[in-house]
Amino acid sequence: MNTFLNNFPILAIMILFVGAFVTSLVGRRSALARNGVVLVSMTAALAMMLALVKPVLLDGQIITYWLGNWEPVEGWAFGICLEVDALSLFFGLIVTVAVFVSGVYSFTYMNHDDSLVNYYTLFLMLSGSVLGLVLSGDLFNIFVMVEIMTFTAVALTAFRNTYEGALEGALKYLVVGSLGSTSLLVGIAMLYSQLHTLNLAQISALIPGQGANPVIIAAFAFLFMGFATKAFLFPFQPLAADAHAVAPASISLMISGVLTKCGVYGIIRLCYVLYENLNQPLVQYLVTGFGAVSMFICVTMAFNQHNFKRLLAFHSISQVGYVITAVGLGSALGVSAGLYHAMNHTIFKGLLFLTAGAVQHQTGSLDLDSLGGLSKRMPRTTLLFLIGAASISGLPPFNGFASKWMIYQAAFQRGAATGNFFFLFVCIVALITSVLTLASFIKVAQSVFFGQLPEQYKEVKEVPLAMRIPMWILAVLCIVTGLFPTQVQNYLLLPATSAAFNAANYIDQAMGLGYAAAHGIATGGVAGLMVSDCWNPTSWLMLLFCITCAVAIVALLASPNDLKDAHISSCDEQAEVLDAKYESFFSGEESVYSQVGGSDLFWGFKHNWRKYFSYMHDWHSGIVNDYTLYGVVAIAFVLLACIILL
Amino acid sequence: MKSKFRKKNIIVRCAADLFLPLACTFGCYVVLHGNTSPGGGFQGGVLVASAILLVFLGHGGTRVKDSFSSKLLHSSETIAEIMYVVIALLGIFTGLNFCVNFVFAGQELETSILMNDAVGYHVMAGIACLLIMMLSTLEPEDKEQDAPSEEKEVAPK
Repeated sequence: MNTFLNNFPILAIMILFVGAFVTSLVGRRSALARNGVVLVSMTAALAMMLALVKPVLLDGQIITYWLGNWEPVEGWAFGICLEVDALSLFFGLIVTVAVFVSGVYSFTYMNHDDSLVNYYTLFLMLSGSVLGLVLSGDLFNIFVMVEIMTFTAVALTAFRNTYEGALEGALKYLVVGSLGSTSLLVGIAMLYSQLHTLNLAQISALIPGQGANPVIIAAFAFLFMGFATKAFLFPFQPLAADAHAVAPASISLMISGVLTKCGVYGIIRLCYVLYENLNQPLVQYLVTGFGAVSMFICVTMAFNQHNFKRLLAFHSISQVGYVITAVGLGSALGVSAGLYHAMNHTIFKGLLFLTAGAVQHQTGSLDLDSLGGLSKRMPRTTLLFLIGAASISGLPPFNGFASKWMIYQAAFQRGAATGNFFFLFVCIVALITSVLTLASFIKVAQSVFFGQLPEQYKEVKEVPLAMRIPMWILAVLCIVTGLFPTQVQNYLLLPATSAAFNAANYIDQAMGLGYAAAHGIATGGVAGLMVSDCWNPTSWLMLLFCITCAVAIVALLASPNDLKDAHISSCDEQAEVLDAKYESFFSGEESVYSQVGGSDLFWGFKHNWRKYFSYMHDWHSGIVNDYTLYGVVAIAFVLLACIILL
Repeated sequence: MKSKFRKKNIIVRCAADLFLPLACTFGCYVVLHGNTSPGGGFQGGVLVASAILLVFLGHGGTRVKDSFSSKLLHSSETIAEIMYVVIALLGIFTGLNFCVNFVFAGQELETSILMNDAVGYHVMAGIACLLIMMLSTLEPEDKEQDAPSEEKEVAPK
């Protein structure tokens, strides 16, 4: 058992941290040595995670690693432990791939900035902490890693502190992020007071014996909201937008592709392994509801943005909403669809952020109103952007289609199996969100890459090859994972899903065989993923109902008469609506020259929804006190819901 | 009036000189005995770093700048971090687990004594760096005024 392979999880985490320290030591002397250290530590971490694929994902082993050999004594785990099952490794792979791509991209992308030693030190610490979070088998270590992750991410957000709003965005992230960390800490303290252990495996073994202990239920609410903050779910989405708009593109990739995935990982681990309570309808409603609300609100918010990266930030939360929605369904198909979409989201959203960074690097602007026609000057970046946009919108040959299709199917199957209209409604929301995503990326493509080329961007050049290579890595991954969904399902998703459903094995591997059975945890597992039964007539009827509803909603929202009326009669009102879009925390700054066709491609839709948008506009006040208040209200709501109804 | 007030009182200077070696020695003692007695790397490291404050109190900001190199302290900090990880990692390369007690296997001593020293070194360098940074922001314009005025006062004596 004690082969050298077992050391790989700790070595992968430590090599990133050592890389951070060595970078700050040698980086001041030579830029080449600094980049070399960063590259070596990222590559080594990636290679170690890949080396674990065979034993963990394919052979189904669980690597349990006790630091300092402090193994459990008489059924009590006092030591710190790393426990790598297929679920952890799945997220570990996402993290290391994203870190590698982001790091390689930074070498060229960040060359205009100074004090890069600090950048790379923080970057590697961020990477190491995220990897430590997903591989940890100890609740308190998860909290420590969350803290390191939040603070390094805040520092990196403010790294380009000459940008307007950089410090402000970072401060908001710090304050509201700390709210999430505190919520996590409170949850951990409550669990520890009741169960006297911090080991994930032991906690999950002991929780069922507690019955309806209100403290344990309150701890669930706190932990759930803590991880939801880290995933920037619904009431927390404004900070993601403020942080993304000012962070360097490589850090945006990390925040959207890696940090939000930590929240997703935490929620899956919490709901499926620790509490095993996703068979309860209330938890399903709660998790799916949060996912569906963030999915829909963020996509409509993205519609109004006039800053390339703010727009991507809202889409990022919208896609994480998809993941959480699918995870909350509580079925094996739902979890694997969620995992698939989590992986795909890292890939395509990373690609989109990197193309946004490329545009910013070459033109110095992210303003959708002033950019335009860049396809003539940056054809290769345009191609990469189109691949990413097609993926996120769920167009068939790319990976977004495969995972979104699985999510629709999972939601629909859940609705058909239980006859519950909530899940059918979620399915409709997911469909509409996907349409809106496509629409908003048409807007981006139109206003950045097509249309008229403004005078000041006539001399813009294509980005260097060193920046295109990381983008191509992600683009190829987009296509490959989209073309071979069956293989992805068999080799990646199925092991990770069965790990999520097999808490007993997770407990046994850490605490010794038979520990789970002694605490009454039944062995679970997933044999295969059932896709919807095609020939079930009621399913077809429900599908018909779904599509009719979706069509009806879309038709009602934008009837041609309204459009005409709005266009002809209410010019004043339209002006009012147009003014609203220039509020700085809502969408961006007003600009003198504007590509009207591009940025206001869907003004009729916006006009019809002006009441909703003006409400959302007031809601995104940009005041950190308000955002904290929303967070506190959300935590209180979840706490009350859990305690009263569970 | 102002320049006279700036001159460090002889009592403060003597006390600082007296307590400086004491603080350093006591700090080192707390670090080295961290594994068997209360205290440890953090507390001891802070005690040693407080030497900077004593120098500041007794001899002023310019002396702090002259006596300590914040660059060297910064490198020491990272070296201490690397030391800690390397000590922890050595366990792996001797065929055991991370952080395992391999040096004094079977004895009462533990590897944690070495790690404690690394932590003490790290905290000392880190806090010293922070203190120097804070003190330099504390009196930015004093530097120009302080240095000449001190010479004037000292010279007639």
